[in-house]
Amino acid sequence: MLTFALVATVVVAAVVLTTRLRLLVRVTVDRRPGHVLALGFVAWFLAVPLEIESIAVAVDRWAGWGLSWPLLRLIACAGGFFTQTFYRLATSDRADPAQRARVTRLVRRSALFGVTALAAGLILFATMPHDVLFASGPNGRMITPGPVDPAAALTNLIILCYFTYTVASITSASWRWAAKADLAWLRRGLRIHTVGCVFGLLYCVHVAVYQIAEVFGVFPPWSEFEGDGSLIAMCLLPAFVGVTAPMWGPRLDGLARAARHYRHRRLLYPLWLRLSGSVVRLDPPRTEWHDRFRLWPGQQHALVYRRVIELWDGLLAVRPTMSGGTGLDDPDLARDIDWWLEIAQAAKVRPIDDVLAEYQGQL
Amino acid sequence: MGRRFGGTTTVDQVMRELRRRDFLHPDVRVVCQRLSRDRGRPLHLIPLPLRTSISGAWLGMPDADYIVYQSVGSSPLHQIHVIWHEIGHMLLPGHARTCEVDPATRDVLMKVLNALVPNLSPAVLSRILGRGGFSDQQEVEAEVFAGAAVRALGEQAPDSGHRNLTEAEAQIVDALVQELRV
Repeated sequence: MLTFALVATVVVAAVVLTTRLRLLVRVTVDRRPGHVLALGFVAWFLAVPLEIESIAVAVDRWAGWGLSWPLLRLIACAGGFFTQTFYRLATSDRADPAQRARVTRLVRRSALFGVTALAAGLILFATMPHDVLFASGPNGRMITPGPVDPAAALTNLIILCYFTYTVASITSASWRWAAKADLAWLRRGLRIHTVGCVFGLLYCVHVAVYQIAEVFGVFPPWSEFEGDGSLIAMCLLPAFVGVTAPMWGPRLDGLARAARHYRHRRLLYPLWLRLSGSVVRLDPPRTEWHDRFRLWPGQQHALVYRRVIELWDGLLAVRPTMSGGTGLDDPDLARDIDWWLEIAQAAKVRPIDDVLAEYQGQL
Repeated sequence: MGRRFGGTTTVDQVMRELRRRDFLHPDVRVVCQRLSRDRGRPLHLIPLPLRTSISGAWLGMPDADYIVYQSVGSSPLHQIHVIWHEIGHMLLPGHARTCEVDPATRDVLMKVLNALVPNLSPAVLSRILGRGGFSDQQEVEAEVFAGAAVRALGEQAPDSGHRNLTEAEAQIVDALVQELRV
């Protein structure tokens, strides 16, 4: 299950990465946030395979020492830094010199923290690359709980401090802007992303508590990998899904709208058949099955719109004395569809002339 | 406008030109104002209870354009569609010609014309195009044009406006959306 979740994350990340990288080649005024976010995606995308135990073991076996451990931390910290920088760039007023200077200062400070933490951590790691804490597979402490060298645990905690800092900062920015954003899919996406970030923070807490516990000789009944893997999966999946919501959300809305329009067009078919017989129609369906099989989502708005217009044409042709609404304000396809659906429903049980007389003047 | 669009031959080309020159607007009355300015002659929208088989007509006078449309019996959506149909006749190349209309429609239009322009010459009638049926290619083109215009306006409509946000916050929300979607 966990492997499946991670593989699914890789697939999602790959799709996102591909789409985001398309932006890199676009020439626009200021693509820095887009470029930084794309770099963040690259980092997360590369980090996910290293979270899979079998891949980490293969990397270590190839290197002859625990290469996957520092590699994963390096990539994860880079991912945290780029994503944090993205939020800082994207949520600041770029035209304001004071804000620009503040963002530059914060980004530099984060880079300094990151380089310092990674340098210190990697130097400590270099003194004991074969330590049991850094080994992948059943022999390592990630799989088999047991005592760890305090220096190795310290190495882990130093790097973890920077990672936690970036995730906390991303969580805060994502939460604040989810509360402020009034565009539906941005708001939903940021909220989902925040949930992912919270799991990221839980991962950091889990690692820290687990390491400290092992240093003090307390060995939890579950392996660190089990806890970390689940939390990472629960972090990355919603984070990717959330941050890409403004991309796929409107498309999802479009599909839902197309399905609704298709259903309404089909519901109006019998009435349209009765009313529009006397008017010449534009590209009418040849048969009911032809109408049914007009399925392409991109066509549905135009087809239901056409149906409504032809219903009006048909109505005016058979009842030119019909009186309805006046004025050009507030045209609304949905309202027209609802009105016609009511007529279609009523016309099932009563003569159409009676129904039309009753609805006269309502629009 | 007719002259400037003279080189175009299809509905798509005319629509592209309208879009390029920012003539499209959700309010068809604004579109008419822009067209009127561009053509250098007034374009009047005349709502009338036509009560005939025809639901609209374009009357191209020597010094002004009149679009008559069915004012009762249908919805704003339908009336706007009718107006776009007539605009299609105005803009699509080769559409100014005689339209076969039934006697009742002809009577109504004659009354309208006489009210608008007294002592109307019969030759003017040769520039009437109505929306009552799509029995020939030009009517079909105008109808396709109306559908394309409404669809283009639907695509232009913003997802939503910003509520309760300062201008700076609204800009940031827009920037975030722009960065996060392809």
